Amino acid sequence: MTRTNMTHKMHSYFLPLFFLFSGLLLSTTGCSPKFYIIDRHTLMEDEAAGEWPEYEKEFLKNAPQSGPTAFQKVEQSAKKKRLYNTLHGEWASIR
Amino acid sequence: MQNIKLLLPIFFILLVLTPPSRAETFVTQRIQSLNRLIPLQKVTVGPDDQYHGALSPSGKTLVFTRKSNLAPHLCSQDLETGKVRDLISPSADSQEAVFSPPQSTPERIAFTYYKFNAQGDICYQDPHLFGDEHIQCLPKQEGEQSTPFWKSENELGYLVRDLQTGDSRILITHLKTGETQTLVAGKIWYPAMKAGGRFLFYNELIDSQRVLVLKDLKTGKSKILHWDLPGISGFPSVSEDENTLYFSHYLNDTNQDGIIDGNDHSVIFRAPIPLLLDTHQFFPEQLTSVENNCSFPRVHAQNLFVTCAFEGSLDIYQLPQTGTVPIHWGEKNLLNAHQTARSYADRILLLNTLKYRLPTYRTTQTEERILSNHFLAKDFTATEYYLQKMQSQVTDTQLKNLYLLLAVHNQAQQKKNLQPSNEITKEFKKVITSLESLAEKISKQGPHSRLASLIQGFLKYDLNRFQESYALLQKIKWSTPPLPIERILYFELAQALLPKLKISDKLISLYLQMSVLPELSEESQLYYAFELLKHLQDSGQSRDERISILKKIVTAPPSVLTLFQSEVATLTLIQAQSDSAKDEAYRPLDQFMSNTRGNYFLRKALYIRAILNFAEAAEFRFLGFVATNWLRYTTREDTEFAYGREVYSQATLDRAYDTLSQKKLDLAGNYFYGSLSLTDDLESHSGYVRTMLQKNQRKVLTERYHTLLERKMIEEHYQFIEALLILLDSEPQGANVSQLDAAINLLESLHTATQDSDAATRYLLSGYCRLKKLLLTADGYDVKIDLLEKSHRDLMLAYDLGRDLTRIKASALINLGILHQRAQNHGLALKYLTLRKEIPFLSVNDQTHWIWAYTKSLFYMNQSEQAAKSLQDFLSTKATQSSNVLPPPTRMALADRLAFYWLAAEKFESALSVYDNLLTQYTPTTGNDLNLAKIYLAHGFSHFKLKHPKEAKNSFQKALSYIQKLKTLPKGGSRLIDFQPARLELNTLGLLATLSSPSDAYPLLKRRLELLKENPGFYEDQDELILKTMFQIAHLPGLSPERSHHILHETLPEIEKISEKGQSLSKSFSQSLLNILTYAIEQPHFKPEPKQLQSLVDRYLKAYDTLKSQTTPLKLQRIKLDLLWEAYLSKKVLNRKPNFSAIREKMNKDTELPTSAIQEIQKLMKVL
Repeated sequence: MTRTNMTHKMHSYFLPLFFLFSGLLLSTTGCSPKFYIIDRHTLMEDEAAGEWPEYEKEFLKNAPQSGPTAFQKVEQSAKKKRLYNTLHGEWASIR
Repeated sequence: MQNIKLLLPIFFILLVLTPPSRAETFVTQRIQSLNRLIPLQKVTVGPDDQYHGALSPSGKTLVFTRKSNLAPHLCSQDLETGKVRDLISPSADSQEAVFSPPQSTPERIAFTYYKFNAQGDICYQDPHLFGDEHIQCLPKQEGEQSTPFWKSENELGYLVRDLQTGDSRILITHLKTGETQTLVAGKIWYPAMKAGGRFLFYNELIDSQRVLVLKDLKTGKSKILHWDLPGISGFPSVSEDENTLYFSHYLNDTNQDGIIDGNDHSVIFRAPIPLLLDTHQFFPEQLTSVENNCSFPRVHAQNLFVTCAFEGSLDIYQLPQTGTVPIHWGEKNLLNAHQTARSYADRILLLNTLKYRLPTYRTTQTEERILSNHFLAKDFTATEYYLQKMQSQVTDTQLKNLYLLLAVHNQAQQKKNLQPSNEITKEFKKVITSLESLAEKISKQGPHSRLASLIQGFLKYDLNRFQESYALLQKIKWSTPPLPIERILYFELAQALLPKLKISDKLISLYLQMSVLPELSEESQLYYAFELLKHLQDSGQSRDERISILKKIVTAPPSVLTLFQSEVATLTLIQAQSDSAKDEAYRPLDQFMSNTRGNYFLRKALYIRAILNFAEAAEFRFLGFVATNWLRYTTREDTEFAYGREVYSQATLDRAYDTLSQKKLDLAGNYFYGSLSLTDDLESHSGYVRTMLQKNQRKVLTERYHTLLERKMIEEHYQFIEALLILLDSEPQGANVSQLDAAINLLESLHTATQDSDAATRYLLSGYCRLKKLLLTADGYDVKIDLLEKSHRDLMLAYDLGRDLTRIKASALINLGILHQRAQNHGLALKYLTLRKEIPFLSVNDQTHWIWAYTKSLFYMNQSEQAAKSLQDFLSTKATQSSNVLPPPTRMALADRLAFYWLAAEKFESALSVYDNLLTQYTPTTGNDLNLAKIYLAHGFSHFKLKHPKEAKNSFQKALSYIQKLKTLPKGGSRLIDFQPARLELNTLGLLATLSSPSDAYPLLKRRLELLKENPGFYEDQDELILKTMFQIAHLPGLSPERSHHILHETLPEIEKISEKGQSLSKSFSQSLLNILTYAIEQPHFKPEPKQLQSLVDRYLKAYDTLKSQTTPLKLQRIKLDLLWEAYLSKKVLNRKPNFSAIREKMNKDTELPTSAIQEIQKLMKVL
């Protein structure tokens, strides 16, 4: 299942700044048009933020972590603290 | 959930009944046979609260309430796949699901639903059918309805509460006949029974006491269930054979708000129903520890499903129906577990279990021990219960007075605890004063004057009269043999007073004094000695000072002295400068460890102190030695072994990571290998595999694992290694979808590794694989929902299970952030990325990844200024300023984002400053036309907003020159939509035209018009945009009348197009029509066809007349049109004077038109 065929209409943030009208974009792919929400943030990124494909590639390759982050030293966790807990002895009788 | 489902039977088989029957490795056999309390298994996954689970009769589906944004709704989870879906739409609240009895036809689920009624309806539906159309509800009863239960296959029971009186009734409605009867009425709540059963259980308020009641439906008799426990009970649940009652019990006021209620920590108990019928007071079996805070028990087959809140959110957990204490544990195991317990709560659980399972422990002495744990844990309510019980059991007045005095102290402490600050309120003073009198009175009656003085000292302290309190403390004489409780109270009061009187230096002698008292047990003596060492460490004394203080202590019980001497040995080792000196200094410590192996409390204190000291000094080598000894000197059967294993595993891992960070790969590999060969834990495997690959020892790695497999040191966990190797072998390109699928399949078939850090590591890897697959398969806005859900679930499990494991938590959080950012769930992404910020970063590179994602989420959550500030702070840190840390392209990418966020935050000066700087860095090699076009457009826009027209125009012209070189780029990667250069051009042309002279603006607007016409469907309001541009052109000063009229003629079919789309009342249609009529009236040579104009006006009027009611703006628009149309017809077609009388009359009749509108129309009439 994919997120498609959405019919909501959103207005761009950036376009009104230019006193233009804005609106829904029609996908040009496929036989029948799919409607997507184009939120104003995405439109604004599309119009004013640079594209850095090399960094994006590096980010998508290296930012997700498949294993534990190899910190040299970590704060003592609650679990560890519990492990090192000592208790006062019970009294067999209060008298 | 397949793993969870499979695990419990495995647990049962392995731990409870018989020796292992399936092929297992030596290591896993060892681990599974560990003697320890059974850990709870998480079934649902956050971040929302999820509670009140109900199991389908088949055991395959769990239905539960999920509370998102304070709104509860029912969800259904497939326990085999873990897939969760909304059972009831979250658009209305629903909760309290309960399945119809087994073999019901059809199967149904009943619940409370708030869609049709704010006071709730009792509804039901087939749980296999999703959608509101399948829901049926019982006829509405007067009052608030809740808590449905099945009395039989066709009878639903539920509670109806009268909102005025607060009284409730338990009703039964027959689903087929609709007949309804009342079973019970009163101040009652939470009914439950087995469908078709004989006994109904519910809570009732009787004489201000909340009790659990059993009603025998056969005889009609009711019975209050009295438990031999402190606190109150709730949420009853009955086993399928109707032999056992499960319920939640609140032993103590854990949140210390003065009352025991549902907000306190709850414990699950159970009791055999047949025995309850004949017993006045019953001692039930405790199944969970108060630390787990579990409630809402639901039993299914051999399992118990409970809702617990000990990992940050409410979630549903699974455990054996026999509880967390292994059912096969006898006296020896229970005593052993009690000795090695790490909390008073666990001790209470184990003592209660001893008392329940073994008649010989049903003694006053056991209860005194339970009391002492509650006392030490400051469980005031439970302490009060046991003190009262003890008091009632003795006849001796002196003894009675002893318990009474302690009750006075307990009550005062409880009251003190309820005070929000140190302020003494009148009411509090009154209570304490009356308790003082009571203590004095009791002390006069018996031989407890010392205890009474101590308690009075506490009461003075409670009133902030510290000097008086201290004076009482100093007068205490120990001439007669003291009770341990007196010594404890003395210590507690002195410990509290000394800092208040600024004589904290006396604390050392106080600890020392306590550690040598003969009336205290060795365990208690060691406890105070241990606390002394901790105090010395925490109070900032240097190691040399600590050595000096400890060396002066020569008189103490042997075990206490040994602890102090071993501390000196540890500190001396740390202070030694060379490796050889350290090795030399280790010998005496090693000797202490060897000599004390038979004394549990001493060796435990000794190991912990050494480990804490070595950890602080980063002496991981010696820390590892101590951990090894801890494990070596503990037998496998000992419940301490599980703790020792954990200590060893953590110590070895810490050491492995330490050497790894120092790039000592050989050593790191050895430590990871050492750890995995002992524990077979997945984190060690993961570290080992990565280290070996870093060392380019892929071949050796394969050989090592073959050996481990041959020697049965590893078996099923090898699937994890295979999955990991698929991913790591595919570097540097990264795994493709089929490789990720292969890894996911291997991890899914891993049926072990469902506990603790193993599970966290495994879920982190499977969540990562699904995240990578989602990133690879995403297409623009499309992401595979199945992958999103499963990856979220895996990563949340890794996060929850690794809550205490910083290394795993850090990885899970960044992955969750990236996952939800890609799925456009920016709120969730920001949540996880904000949590990630709380943990340090491994490297600047790591932190750069995080800031990239974090600031993007901030921008998407409308916090652009915060995004800009965070990014600016990051870029100005020393670490990132160093020229070689961030490669220039990365630095430029970050600067571009920074400028962009400033722009989005409308901080144009800041944006301009970064853009200016960025533009100086572009060279023919680093620059690209796309980015330069965008930068110049944004740069020009910043100038434009700052009213720098010349600079703005210059930048827009540069932007245009780069835009000409651009081509359409299809969506892909991080580009969610196709990049269309025409959009940039449209924006630039529009802005440039506003800054240009009419003659310069004409070609710009003309090009803009061409672009709009060439790209149909580009914008939702494209027609409106086209018309607006056409009118702008027609209206340009200096444009020849012919050109202007030509354009105006061309607007007519465009206006018609809007009407054909059914938008005849839209602002664009009506405004264009008014515009064109105005031109037709005003400009003598603009002569549109009257029929064409008539047709447009008719379209408007037709649409207008269909409206049932008209708003003021619409009415105003209509009157304006009437006026212009009359003026046009009169002046241009009929050659007569316009007659506005009909319009004026109509306007005057409309009383709703505001004066301003009337004035506007009158002005227009004059002009026309």
